[in-house]
Amino acid sequence: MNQTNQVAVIGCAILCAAGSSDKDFFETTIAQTTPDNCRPIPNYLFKTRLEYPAFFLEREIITKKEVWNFISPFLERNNLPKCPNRTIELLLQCLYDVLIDANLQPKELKNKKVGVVIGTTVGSTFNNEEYYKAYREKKYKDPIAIKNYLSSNLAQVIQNVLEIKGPCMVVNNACASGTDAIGIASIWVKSGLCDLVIAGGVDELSKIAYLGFSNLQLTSKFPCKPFDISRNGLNLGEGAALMVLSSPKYTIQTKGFILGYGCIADAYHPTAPHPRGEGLKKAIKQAITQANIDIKSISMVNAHGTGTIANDYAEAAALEKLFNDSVPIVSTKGLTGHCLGAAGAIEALWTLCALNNMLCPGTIGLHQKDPNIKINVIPEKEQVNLKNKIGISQSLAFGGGNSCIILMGKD
Amino acid sequence: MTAILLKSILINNEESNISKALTRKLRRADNFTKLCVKVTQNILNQNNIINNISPESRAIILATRFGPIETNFRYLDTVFDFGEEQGSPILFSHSVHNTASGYISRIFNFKGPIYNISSYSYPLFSALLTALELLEQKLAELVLIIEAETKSDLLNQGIKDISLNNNHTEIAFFNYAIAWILIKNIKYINNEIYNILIIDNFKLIEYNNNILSSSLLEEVKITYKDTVIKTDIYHLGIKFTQNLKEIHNILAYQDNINFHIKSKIGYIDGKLYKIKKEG
Repeated sequence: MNQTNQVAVIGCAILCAAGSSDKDFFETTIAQTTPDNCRPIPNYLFKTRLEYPAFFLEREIITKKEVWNFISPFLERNNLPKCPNRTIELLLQCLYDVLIDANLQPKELKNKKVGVVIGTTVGSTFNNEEYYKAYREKKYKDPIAIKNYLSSNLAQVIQNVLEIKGPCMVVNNACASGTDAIGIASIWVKSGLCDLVIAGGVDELSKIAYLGFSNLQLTSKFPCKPFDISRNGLNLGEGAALMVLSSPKYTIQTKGFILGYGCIADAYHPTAPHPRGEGLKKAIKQAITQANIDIKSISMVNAHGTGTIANDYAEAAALEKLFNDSVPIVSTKGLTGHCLGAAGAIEALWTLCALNNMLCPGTIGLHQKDPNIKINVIPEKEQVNLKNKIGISQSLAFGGGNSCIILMGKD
Repeated sequence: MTAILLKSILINNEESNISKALTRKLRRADNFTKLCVKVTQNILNQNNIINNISPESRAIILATRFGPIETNFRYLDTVFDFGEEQGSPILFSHSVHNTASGYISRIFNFKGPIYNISSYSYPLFSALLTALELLEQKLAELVLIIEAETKSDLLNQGIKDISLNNNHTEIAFFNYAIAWILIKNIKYINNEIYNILIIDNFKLIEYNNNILSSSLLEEVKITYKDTVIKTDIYHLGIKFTQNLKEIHNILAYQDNINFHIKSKIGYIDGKLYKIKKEG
């Protein structure tokens, strides 16, 4: 395979309800036990009368002193409180972990062209209900909330913490944001714009997103069941995942490679995907062209697989057209919930783990596949050995976005 | 790195006219979306270049600081007024940053890559960087760039309070949208006279994350010939686009102009030509 088409993944970090490392997360999947961490919303996140369960992390995200020592100078320089919000806390814990995993010291980054691309949904929005309520009622509001918001652009936070200079960007492509962030980062590395790019996605479980998805009637009162006959909606989640990408020619240590990336719009509906998955099919074809591989090389697909009727049919239509039932398909939403802007990044890292292990575990929550879905979705309690180390991780989004990346495990 | 810019439009009027054909399609849309769709309609009405490029090769990059922030508050109004179960799903779906680009994609048949990016300091430059990369990597043949913002009284009041406390210059955001079209290949230009900006070089030096930072209170200089156009940093996109119009006017008397735009974060070197492509 032509190495010029490859982008090396030299570091990974994950934080989600299914684990605090890619290895943890993958082993949880292998265990194939239905997790007990899809629960009602605890008060430490927010108070709500609605009863839709979700996947979430503990109250305190950053618990280790060394992580605080790492980020405190940034907070002090910007005159910020201990942590401006939960999304930033998730991001910074993950940043600390990914630098260790990539064996990178912050000081050695200062002389390199280091880019940052972060996908998010909640992380770019002023989601402060209390502040808005006070404003509505014409009560006093401490503008620190606004100041924190204006200091919370996620990509720029990473730049500030690491004191690096280079292109940086926050991607707000809704549920495909994490996939697109990694895709854009791979373009930056391929073009030589950057030596290294820190890329991924992060989103906290916010009350506005929780209520909004419930108001859209997309959430389930039970743990989600992607592609199952009795599926009835998604569960929200929270988390973060980051990768460090580099050109293979500069790299000794690799965890795998990004081979290709595709991003295509449905131009169909504000919130629903194209029912025949037209945009998704084209995005996959675009990624395969970019990767310069044969479609028969694909050994597995990590689907978006939210557990909503519309999503699962759209994905199944696209994948059936491209792969028939020859390629194993999996969804990991039954372990993490739908982490919105972080989902694509979390799933890309999980896919890399599966490829490196040449093993595709089953889909938690899938017990009896919808008979209208003709693709080879691996059910819970089953697993399939893969024929090679090349696979796809894909995301669909509000607004009609379809994005996918093609990954390859290390040699 | 070379790209070609065709036209540029500025809207700063909240009550922008929407054509009758669009009225129905935008009946549920919020102000942020309407601004973005209107500016797209205007730029596409100025030339028919889009017809020469397949829908899958048309990309959109929508860059903003705050996105549809007021729509988010309108959604919260429905939650506060009617209860958690009765929040408006329409307002919620429009409070997401990428809703406007979804409308543009559907209405104007853009089926290539779509990116929605946010940056507090220089959204237009972030979009330009991404657009040039898409063209270079052949992921698109035409890129529509939009920078848009809607007025938020809550945000403007909050920024005013912080600025007063810290002796910063007060800034306020208002309703505007800017659109550019970039293409790489001149073959798509029809037999018409265009003023075309050739971007020979574009480089971002650094970003600064905080729009309130006093270190950013310096001028951006756009120079051509011996003239310096001063512009303010906060609305760089608007000022730059306005200045392009001035440059276009000068082109009525000149064949080409070299220019250099430099700010704290980067520079753009370019040439502006008046051309007539022979049929």
